Amino acid sequence: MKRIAYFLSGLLLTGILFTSCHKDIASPISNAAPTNFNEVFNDFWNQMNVNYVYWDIDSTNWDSMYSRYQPVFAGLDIHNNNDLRKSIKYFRQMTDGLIDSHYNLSFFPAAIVDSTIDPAVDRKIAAGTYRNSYSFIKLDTVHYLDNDLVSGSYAGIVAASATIQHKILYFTCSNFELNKAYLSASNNGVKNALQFFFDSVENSTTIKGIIIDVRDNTGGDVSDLSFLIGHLINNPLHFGYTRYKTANGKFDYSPWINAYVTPQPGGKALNIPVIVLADNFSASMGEATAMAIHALPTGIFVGERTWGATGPLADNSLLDDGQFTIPGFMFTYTSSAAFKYIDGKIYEGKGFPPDINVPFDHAAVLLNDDPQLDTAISLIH
Amino acid sequence: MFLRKTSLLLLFIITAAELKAQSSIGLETGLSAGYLNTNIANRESSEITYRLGYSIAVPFEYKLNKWLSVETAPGILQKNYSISRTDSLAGAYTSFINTYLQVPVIAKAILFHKKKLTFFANAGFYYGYWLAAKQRGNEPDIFTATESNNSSGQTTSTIHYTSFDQKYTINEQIDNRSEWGWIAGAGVQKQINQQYMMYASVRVYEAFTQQQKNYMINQIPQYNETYTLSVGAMYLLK
Repeated sequence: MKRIAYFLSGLLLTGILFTSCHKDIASPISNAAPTNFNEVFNDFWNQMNVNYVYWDIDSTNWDSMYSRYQPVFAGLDIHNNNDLRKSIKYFRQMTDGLIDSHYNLSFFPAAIVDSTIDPAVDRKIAAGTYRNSYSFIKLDTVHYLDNDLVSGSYAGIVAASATIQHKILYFTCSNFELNKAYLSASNNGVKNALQFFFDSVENSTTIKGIIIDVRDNTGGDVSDLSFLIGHLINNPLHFGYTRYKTANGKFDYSPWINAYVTPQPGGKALNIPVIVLADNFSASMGEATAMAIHALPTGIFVGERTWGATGPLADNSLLDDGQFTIPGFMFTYTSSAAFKYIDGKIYEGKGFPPDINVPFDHAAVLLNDDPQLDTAISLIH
Repeated sequence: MFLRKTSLLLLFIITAAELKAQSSIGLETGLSAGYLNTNIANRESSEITYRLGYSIAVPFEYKLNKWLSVETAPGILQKNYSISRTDSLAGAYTSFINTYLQVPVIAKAILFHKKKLTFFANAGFYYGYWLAAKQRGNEPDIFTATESNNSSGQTTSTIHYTSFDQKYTINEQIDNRSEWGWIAGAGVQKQINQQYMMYASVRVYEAFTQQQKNYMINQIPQYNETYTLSVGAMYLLK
């Protein structure tokens, strides 16, 4: 019997030795610069699995892309310029169905450094829904805003704030880098426009409504959402949910986590209409601004359906997903989190629809008229 | 498959119960600490950490002879783990609370006796069925990010974390509810009287089937690894 006991003891010790060491599991992710197209393809394909946040709702079958394109890339020579140019076509084919409307590929080798792949733009052009963008700042500044206008620029961003008919507070910016401009030591025009807007929100007793114009605003720094909209609230504003990747599997996701706009010092709840103007070119932070304002008790969205790039962006290190680089070859720009609006719908690739649809009217613009702004003004009495 | 295995086990228990003189039944409970064996080395400032859970089981032991017995202990075992952020994001984590119905079949060997205590070791195999899951944690809400200047004029960024505690719906396309693995452990027991015996034991449960089905090319495997510390009491059937 002791033999059996010794046998089992031996088995036990073997078991403990076996189990107490974590398994040695290889990672397919490499941070080394690829030396051939086979490595380029594998690095890109694997990094997409790990970092892309919309696999569960995207119609692209990424596994079938592996089966189809892995042999194609394996046949290309990374030192041959013609093959480098051919690779652009294949990357475009692989990614043309991805719903992430931030998604963009850019390349480092000299022969293809001018190439870029933007599936959302390609889709809109193919669908005939793409028009040239239009900046309303000049038209509205000259023809709509009162002479208390404060405007200026910082780091390529233009912002303006003024009243309209001395009863409506208006703010617009061409992109979002507002928080940085406001904190800048320089006396820049964006800071002055923001100060005018914040002071008016906090102190004015004559303002009957607010219009925030993010038309043609393609986004920027995500910290601007709370920085700007946080002045219009005195409690956290729950306006949606975000979801990240938690591990390396294609479907390893966090749960949907509440997304809030944080009130800022001096912020106050408003019982006047807050209208956001957005259009087909309002993207990313431009769309987040439209969605956050729409979630306000008195928020109204006027204009056109937005671009459809609703997922926020950050460095890959913040959320362990999103944009990534294949060293020496390419950069992939992609959302760091999936975003679901407070209504439970995901607008990625579709765009957020307005409460009051007012399409861009080129003929009216030529006559110095802005029908979208006219509609917003008409809603404030 | 699961029903067939469970039926076989019940048959084993019933058959063994007929041999009352050599059989004991009891109750054990304790703490579990889970870990996910996988590779996330590419994920910056992230690590997999153990997370505590609980275990509760109804052990049934059939004594083959003075030194050797076979045992099963159908019960509930939590195989929890966390993926935690480190460095500047310390405090952010997602915990995976995974509850399994588990049926082990174990050989138990008495090693030696000392001062009325009996030391034993055991080893065997188990089948687990993933009953339910939750995800709890605290992760950064990117939309709350703001920047401000500190007293020395430097710009600093702050981001609020959002807590969550949500049921995870097991995805039959992805998640592998059935798990096979093996067990090794050791413990100490004390005979209270002729009928009752108390014991404490530690065990390692190592899955050799993956927690996820093979649903993608180049999938990085994920295996459960669970440690338990249990105390229990056994009643001699006769």
